Amino acid sequence: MLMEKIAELFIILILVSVVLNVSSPFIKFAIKLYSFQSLMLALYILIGAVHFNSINLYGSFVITVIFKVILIPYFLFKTLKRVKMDKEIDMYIGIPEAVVFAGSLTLLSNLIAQKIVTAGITFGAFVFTISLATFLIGAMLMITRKTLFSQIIGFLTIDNAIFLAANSITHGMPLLVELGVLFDLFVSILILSILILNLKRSAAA
Amino acid sequence: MTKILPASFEVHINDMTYNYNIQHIGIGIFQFVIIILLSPFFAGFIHKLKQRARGQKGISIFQFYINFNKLLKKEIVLSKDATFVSNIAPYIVLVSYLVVLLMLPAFYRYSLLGISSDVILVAYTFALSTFFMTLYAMDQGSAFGGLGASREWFLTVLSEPSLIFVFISLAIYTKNGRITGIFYFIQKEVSNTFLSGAHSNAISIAIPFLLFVSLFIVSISENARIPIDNPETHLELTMFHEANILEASGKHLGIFEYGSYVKLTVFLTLMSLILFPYMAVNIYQVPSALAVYFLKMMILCVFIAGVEIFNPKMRIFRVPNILSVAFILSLIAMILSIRGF
Repeated sequence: MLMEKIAELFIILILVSVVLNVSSPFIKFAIKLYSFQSLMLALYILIGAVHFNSINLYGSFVITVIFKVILIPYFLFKTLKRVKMDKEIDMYIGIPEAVVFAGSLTLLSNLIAQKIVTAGITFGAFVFTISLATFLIGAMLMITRKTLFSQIIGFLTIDNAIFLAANSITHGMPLLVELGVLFDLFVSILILSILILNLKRSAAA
Repeated sequence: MTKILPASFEVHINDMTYNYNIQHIGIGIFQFVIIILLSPFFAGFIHKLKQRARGQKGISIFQFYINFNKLLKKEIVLSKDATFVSNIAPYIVLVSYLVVLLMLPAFYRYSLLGISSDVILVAYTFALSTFFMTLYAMDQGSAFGGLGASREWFLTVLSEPSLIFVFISLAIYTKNGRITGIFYFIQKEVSNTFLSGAHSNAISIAIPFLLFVSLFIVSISENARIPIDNPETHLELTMFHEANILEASGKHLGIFEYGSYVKLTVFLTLMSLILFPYMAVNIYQVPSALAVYFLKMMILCVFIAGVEIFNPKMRIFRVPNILSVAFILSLIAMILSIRGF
């Protein structure tokens, strides 16, 4: 009972970190927030693992911590240091408007979640609301920001949202599938950082 | 001994019945007086913590009592353009905070005005005080007054929606319209869940957490604390709150300052009640409840001082960013509380 409540707190913190991400133009802060958000996701998975006593979920917890909390933010920081960019300068819409838009996306996802739960699909309404809202806000980050870094952060946020929804319905995917997904993500981040560096070099030349 | 007062009398409003007897009224008055007396102490404690963190020796914790005493003795100087508004505005500002304080069940459940502590009323009593403070600023006819008033309303307009949403989501979450009822409900459910291990579905950790964060941001902006405003400076570019009371002197200044301490205490009390409601229901629990209340307030003071120490003052055009986050957090809390648990 208490476990569920604490799990709810972790899920809420994922959404809060995304909203904070929308509200701040600083890229370093955004990467730190992504790391925090992945940590919350990992703790949520850990609670599930303790509750269902499933070895798959324990494995998923360890992999999430290694890849999402440590490795991906580390490479992003490394790239950021070489690019020497610290702030998102221009966006398509201003920050307060974007934050209010994020709130309306949360409202929308709540409506959708209620319809889906009444349709009888076995989703937790709470988790589904949060993961859908996180998904939509991540997509909004990708659309409204102009620099590649913020778009990468948006992409990673969408990935976290899908991961959250998947873990809430399946009691853990097979470990091989999860490893494959995370490795794909990791490689894509590596490729994107090389792209950023090349773009920087060609712009400088 | 003949009875001057009846031993108890009942007040009926709508569906609620409040049974007022001598004990409730007595402890209610005690609660009110002790919080008023403590409020400059909390402000002084935050100030002291900030100064020690900067490496200064700092003023005494009790300095604000001495300042208030000194200001009461000084004469009031009013501008020649001032109307009667300037004479009544400081008192209305102070009284509106005191009315909110009368409603709050800080450590005793039956606060004196608990029967009429509607959540909307609490939110708009704050707005009334802001209204009269800005009237006072503009009534004196100085240029800084208008500047300060416009900035104060800029902040209030941004932070008021989140304050209202915080209260409304508390009301929806506990299915109770009054402040006393709300916090008593939370206390009962929490003790049911954690002490006796009953299977309670009515309590959630996520909603109070969101409300606490939202209320924390709002209280920093409403109380003119550092990331948003710095009340210690008198530089015209940075004044928010201070520009309103720049013309005030003597007794009026003292009352405004005391009002700001009471306002800070009211916000801290609301936060402490959301985080950990512990209210006495009879006279034997009052000492322990008072001790817990004092401890909670000290912890929150350290929190506020920490935020003030580790943050620089924000540019004014970045303030809407952080206040919109507070708004959205309270909105999310409201969505979750409508859905129910």
